[in-house]
Amino acid sequence: MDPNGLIAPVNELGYPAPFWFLIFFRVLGFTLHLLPMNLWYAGTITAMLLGLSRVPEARRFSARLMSQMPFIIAFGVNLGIVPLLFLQVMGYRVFYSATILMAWQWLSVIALLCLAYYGVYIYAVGLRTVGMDALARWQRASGWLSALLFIVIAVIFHSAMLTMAEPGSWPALAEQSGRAAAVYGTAHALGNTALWTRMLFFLGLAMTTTAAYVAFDGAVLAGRESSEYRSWTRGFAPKFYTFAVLVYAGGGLLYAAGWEPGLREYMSSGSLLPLNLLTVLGPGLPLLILWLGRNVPAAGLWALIAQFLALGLQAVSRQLMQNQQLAPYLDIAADPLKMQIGPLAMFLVSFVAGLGVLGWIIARLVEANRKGVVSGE
Amino acid sequence: MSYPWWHVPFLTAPMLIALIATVHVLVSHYAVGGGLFLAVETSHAYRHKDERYLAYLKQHAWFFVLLTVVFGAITGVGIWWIIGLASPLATHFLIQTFVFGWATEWVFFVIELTAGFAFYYFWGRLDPKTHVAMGWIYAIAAWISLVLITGITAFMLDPGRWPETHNFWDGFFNPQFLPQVLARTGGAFLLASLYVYFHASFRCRDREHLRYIERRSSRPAMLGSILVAVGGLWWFLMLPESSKAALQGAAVINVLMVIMFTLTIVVFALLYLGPYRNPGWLSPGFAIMFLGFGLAATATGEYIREAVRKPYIVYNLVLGNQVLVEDVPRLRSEGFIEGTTWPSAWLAARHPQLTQRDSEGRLRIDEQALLGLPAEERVDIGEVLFMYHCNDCHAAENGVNAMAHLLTGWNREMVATSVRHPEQLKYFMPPWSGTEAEAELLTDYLMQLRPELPPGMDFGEGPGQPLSMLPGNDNASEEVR
Repeated sequence: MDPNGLIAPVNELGYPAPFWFLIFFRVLGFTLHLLPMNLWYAGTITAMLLGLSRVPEARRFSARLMSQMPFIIAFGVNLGIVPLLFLQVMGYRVFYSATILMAWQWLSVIALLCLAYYGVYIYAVGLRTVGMDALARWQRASGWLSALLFIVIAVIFHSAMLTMAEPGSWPALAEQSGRAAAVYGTAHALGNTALWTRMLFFLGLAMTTTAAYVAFDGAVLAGRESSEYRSWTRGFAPKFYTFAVLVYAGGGLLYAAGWEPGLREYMSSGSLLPLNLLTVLGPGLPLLILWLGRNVPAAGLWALIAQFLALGLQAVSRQLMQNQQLAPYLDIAADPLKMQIGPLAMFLVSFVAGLGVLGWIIARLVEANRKGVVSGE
Repeated sequence: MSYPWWHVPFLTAPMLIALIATVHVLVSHYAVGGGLFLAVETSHAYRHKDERYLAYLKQHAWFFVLLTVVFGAITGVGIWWIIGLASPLATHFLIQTFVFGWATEWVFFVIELTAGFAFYYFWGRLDPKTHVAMGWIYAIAAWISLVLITGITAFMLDPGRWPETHNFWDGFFNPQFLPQVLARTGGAFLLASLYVYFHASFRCRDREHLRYIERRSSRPAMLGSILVAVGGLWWFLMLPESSKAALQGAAVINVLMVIMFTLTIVVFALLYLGPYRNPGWLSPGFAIMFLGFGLAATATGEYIREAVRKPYIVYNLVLGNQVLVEDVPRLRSEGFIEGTTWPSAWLAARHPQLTQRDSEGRLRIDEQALLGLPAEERVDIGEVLFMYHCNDCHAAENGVNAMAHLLTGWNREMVATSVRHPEQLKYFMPPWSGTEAEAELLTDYLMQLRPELPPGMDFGEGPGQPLSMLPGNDNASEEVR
């Protein structure tokens, strides 16, 4: 089959807002999603490994991160809605086909996520009630299972996004796992080398986020912890970040080596070179802050802010790359604009008002944290 | 249809939507009603300085968080996942039309989540006024989420003036909107109380306190029952005529309606006789049965709500087989395969001699040449037509509405007529959206699926013999042979 003939035609319903607006929210949403998603992807396995350490502070961080993980997952899932929603609006011509090709895998994300989420809860409740040392075997197993499931979920997501950006692979996938022009939804990209190099690259990135979070936890969230703990976070974070950057760089080099020549040329072309260089070097700033700020208590906060910027750059570059990969097959800006001014206004007003409500809630929580227990318990 | 069809043997892909959606609504209604319950009751407990009730409410809030924030939220995402896989055209249609409705719902989802966590995890650390405020923020945000989603799902049953205006608000405030908001709000109250009974019957050991909890929850449950009844009746009155006809005419829906009404009446009666009038009845067994009836009634109601939309996914706009209503005439004249992305690419790859590009670069298929193909290849193409035109609702050999069982003993003329006029055979089936030649190929495929009459059946002309045609229909009876 000709992959060009498999691309869904432009739909006359059109885009409900200007192209730039949709792209902006998609990239913003993805950046916001990346932060917690990186933490459950690399953070869970890191926390489980640190839990095996003999260093008490490492074990303390492990327990702290796993106790926070239910919130991180909840907000990570929630923040993933926006980029996926706008991806469906703008990428419908390839998104649906790619995910249908691997439907069972894609659908299994829901079951796996549910299991991983409850696994984290079981582990976190165990930490709260009996402490790390007294955790039962099944509670520990839940933590490890969750860490494993998050990695499996990452493989599925990478498979889907990779398949979406490579319509050229669709005819073979459909032939292997289809019947009568329909598909069984059992296709996978496990044999695609790019899947694994991409995984390694994003694992490195997720590890950098986890390392920055170690410093952030020590600097901002661990007010009631010992000074030894806070000092440990300042010492461990730069070392871990350095290791993570090596994985990121190694994965990135392997990943880029597998790109089509045209894509490599595009990504290093004059107009995009500064942006892509900034993206590649993005983790350098948090790394610098962590090493230089080893004796500065607030360095963790700045490191996480710098990490957020690095993730934002990743999101922008990734979007440009995806558009370029799809360019031979479709023009994602070709849909007619059918502006929905009223609904857009409703969204923006509720978005701003929502930020206000969230600000109020967070202010009350910070205040309550400062005051301690009022009643009950 | 612009996307590949996901063939799920035996079950059919859309049945997975029903499965996940039904599981989700059982928890999502509790996520709304339970939030209101916690806000109201926590406020009441603080006002009366009732420490014992507060302690119970905290236990309940933990159960609530574990069930709604994890399972409820993930299965909610699951619905989004599965509709994109099993019903991509309709999903795209809904997302493109209501993207800012969904985005707004997401804002309230974030608020809901934050306030819900604050409410439970800062229990005892917030002053009562702020704590109750968190409960109310959660409850209001959750209810607004319900309203926003209901506007979109109700649109599918009746899009109101949207087809003429293409205006978001005309679609959102459709004739089904208010009845469904009312019924769902009532369902949320009612189910929340049933979940409270379930939880309290296991967690609350003090019988007197259990009776107190029963009493407190019985009023919102009674209010919920009234709203469900009024909303349900209003929903029925506002249904499009085709849906009313389906409610009365489809045997499966008839049976489900009886089950739903019976279960609902049982729940109302148990509620009135038990927690409302005699709040000592509650035991774990009673609570499990009570919740089970409530969940079964809700699940059946949801299934019926989905089923009465047939033959549409979005009434008068998108048909159940992923065809836009406005495309039907074009597909009937130009061809179903030619008008669908993946089948046309498949045919061009398998039978390049049957296709050519026109001056605008569009793929054209020689319809008449299709009929000249060898029998085996005609059946292959017929199967493609079956997948994309019929497999939404029909399995092939075995499973959901399997064609083989439906066609048992049919002759070719009956099959061919049904293929050409499915909407006349059953008005809740989509019309045939292909050419005459394609109808023949689909008939070829269905005929090789069709089993003979079960052996041994005697209709008067000997065991295993179908009756001959009536006098004067000799041509047809010849074809049967």
